[in-house]
Amino acid sequence: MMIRKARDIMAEVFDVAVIGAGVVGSAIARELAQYDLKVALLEKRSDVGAGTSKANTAILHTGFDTIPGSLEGGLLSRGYARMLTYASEVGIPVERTGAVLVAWDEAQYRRLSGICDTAKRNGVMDLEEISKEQLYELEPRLGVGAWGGVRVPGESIICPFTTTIALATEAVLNGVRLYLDFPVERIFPEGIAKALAGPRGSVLAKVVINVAGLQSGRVDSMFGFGRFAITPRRGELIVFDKLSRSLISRIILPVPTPISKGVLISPTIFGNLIVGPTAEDLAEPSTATTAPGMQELLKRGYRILPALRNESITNAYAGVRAATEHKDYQIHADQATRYICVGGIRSTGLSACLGIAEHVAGLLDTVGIKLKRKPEFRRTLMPYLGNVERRAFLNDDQIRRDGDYGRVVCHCERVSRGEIRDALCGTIPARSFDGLRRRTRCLQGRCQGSHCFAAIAEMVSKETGMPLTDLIEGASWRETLE
Amino acid sequence: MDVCVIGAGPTGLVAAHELSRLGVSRICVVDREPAAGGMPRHCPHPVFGIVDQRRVLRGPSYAKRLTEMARRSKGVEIITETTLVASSGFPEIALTGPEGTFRVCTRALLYATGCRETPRGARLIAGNRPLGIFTTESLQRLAVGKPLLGGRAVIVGAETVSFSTLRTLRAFGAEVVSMVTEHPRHQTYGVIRALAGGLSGVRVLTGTRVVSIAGAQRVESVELEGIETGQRRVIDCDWVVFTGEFVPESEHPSTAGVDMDLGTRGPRVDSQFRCSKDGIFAAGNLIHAAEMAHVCVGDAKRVARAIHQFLQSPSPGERRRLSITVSSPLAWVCPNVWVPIQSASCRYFLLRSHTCLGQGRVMISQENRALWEARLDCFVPNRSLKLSSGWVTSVREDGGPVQIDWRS
Repeated sequence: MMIRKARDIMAEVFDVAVIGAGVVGSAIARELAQYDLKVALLEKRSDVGAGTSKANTAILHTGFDTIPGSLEGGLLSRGYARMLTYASEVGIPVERTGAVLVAWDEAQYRRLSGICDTAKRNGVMDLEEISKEQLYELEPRLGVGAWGGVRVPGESIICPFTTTIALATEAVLNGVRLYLDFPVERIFPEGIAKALAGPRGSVLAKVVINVAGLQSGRVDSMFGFGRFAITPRRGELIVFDKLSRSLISRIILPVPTPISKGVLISPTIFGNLIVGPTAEDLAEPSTATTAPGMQELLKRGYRILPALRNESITNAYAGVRAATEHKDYQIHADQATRYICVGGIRSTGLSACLGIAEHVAGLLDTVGIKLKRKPEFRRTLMPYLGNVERRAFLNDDQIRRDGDYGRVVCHCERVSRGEIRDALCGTIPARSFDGLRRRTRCLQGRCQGSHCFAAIAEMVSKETGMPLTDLIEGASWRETLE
Repeated sequence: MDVCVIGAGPTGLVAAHELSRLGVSRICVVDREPAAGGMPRHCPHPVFGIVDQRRVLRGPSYAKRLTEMARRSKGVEIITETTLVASSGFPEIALTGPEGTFRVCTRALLYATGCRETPRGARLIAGNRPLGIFTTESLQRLAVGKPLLGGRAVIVGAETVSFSTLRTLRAFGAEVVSMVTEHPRHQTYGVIRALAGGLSGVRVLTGTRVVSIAGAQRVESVELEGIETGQRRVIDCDWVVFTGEFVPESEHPSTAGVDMDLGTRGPRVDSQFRCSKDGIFAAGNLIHAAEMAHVCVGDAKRVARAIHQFLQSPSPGERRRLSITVSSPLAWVCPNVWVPIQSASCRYFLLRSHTCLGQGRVMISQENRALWEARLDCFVPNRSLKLSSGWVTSVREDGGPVQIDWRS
């Protein structure tokens, strides 16, 4: 169960190495952990789910608007269904808010029936075109001038952080070796296996699965393929205060036209509203927000929901997704090199991950791996980060066992000392303030750590033994907190 | 409970003490922090108590003094490490703490939850999100008792609190390379600026905004822009401290459904600190973010009298509440509700503006009928001017809202 560091270079050869511990890589590792295989999960950052997986719109898509017959469409559909079950098993917060697509002009309005048809071809049968009147009845705070809309009842919101950590945790609990801070820079043959080498050492594996997201194009080239080039596409989002949550009931989606993709406004599972994303192609990935980007989001947000003008803003963030020149996933299995590429996942990784994982497990036969199911599979239960009523600070049983669950430290997000302590010593413990944020919600509220950062830093200093000054420097926390 | 006070800062503590003095018997003061005392607990500078305690005290001592005063008051119970869960069920209040969840039934509720500074996120400053970005509060909480090593700091804001930040950063070995404000001048008083500036005064870059922050793990630099000139410059630094631009901690009154003021962003209150629901009161920096502690203490004494009066006669009959609104360039007024009352029991009003204003007049009217006019000069953002209350008796109870405008 220990997270291995590169120091512990194993002479052993893994059956499979998965490059990339984002939501898709973690889902694949977890899927493989159900079988009698030696699996390594390699991640270049210091935490799982610290790339695209942590900065997105956090929507669990039904897949109503994918290209019918595409691989993405099929895997997303399957992934959506599997995720609803998985989420309830491990405690990932999900809410079936539903969505409405809103047409703001005639051109958009004329596309609505086509959207319903495409949805049916994608197996999403419950879309419903609605009139202007019905739209405003559903969402009375929408700006004036909507022509009509489409209801998508199955579209849901989810916690992207809990999802990735749950998947990676179950992978690790079932024998997957997680290597963090482990970038792969060179791949070369080493006997019956391949060596995946970088500054932190090397790992040997017979089969390699490339789920490297923004780096997947580069890894594909390392194997001699180079079938696609990644264009980093930055998306900025603005987070509005929880007090604005009640302005909408559903996700408000734009109607995409050839000219523009539009921005959405969505409730988050944590009780905020988000407006975004922008779509800006970059030469190099960057998660910096920009003034023009945020200004554009405000302009569009106010147009869609004028009441936002009087609401408070909590924060803004940016994520980078991996766009390619192709319109579909780039999932290929090569027998000769015993290499599976899982690239070009575009922006649907979170929703499709369990579908992709299942599909990839099915491809292992092609690369000469026989799957033998293990008799046991350990499950986990994640700390619940969604609806306030289910959180630790209101759980009398939990508080009676340990008063620290009733001692709230991050007041804006109602995070208790007990939960922070747990996050510092879980199966995959937090090793940075960002890691702590994702596992507990701390520092994510309207005060952005003004009230609680000092107290939290003190807790971390005590747990890790690191002096406060080192912590604020941004130094990596202890490798394991055992 | 007779009175439940949410927040054991100066406002809550002094209100509890005053209520006890007036003979109210069951008073509980709830605070979510591990200790009572409020914001002053983290303010190291000797600027407290001068007006209300006739002493010069550092924040922590001031906090302790007020806490002791309240703790020793008959009928007052202070509960710390306890979080308000919901007050929308008033008179029933739901709370939680290290012993579990519990409910309290109270006849009167006083919100005294104070305020917070606007952090980087809420200001929509572009760039990365590295470590080293603070507010005065997070910095001063961190710095209590522990010296931090040097580095270069940029302070965003030039309010009174910003100069406190300046002193804190210097006391802990950091070099303050710049103080930046969007406004054309600093917003404190000359004497504070001079004292805080010290021997190696820091240049306040006025008319300058922060464009973005750069840095991977830790802050590396900040990009500034001259608002008039459009000229940009990059300053290498390790700390960026966002100061001031206080906003009320008004989540609970808001979710409890009391009327909120778009100007102050706190609950709407009249001169008796009453909210729009009977039995609910609000005082302190929650209704006027942020004034100095002695102003909050003044609130506390008055709201205690108002609560005491309410407890004696809980149904005062039809209470006509008229809005008092301001127009740009004014930002807010507090109190912001007019009720029929003798002017003698009405303290001054606090007024704020969005921008620096030179010489001008404040004009108070009701449905275009002029009530009052006074000269009020030198408005500076984030700093209140006092407006006298002599005009309140001229307001017609059956008239429309009261309007306050400013003309140069």
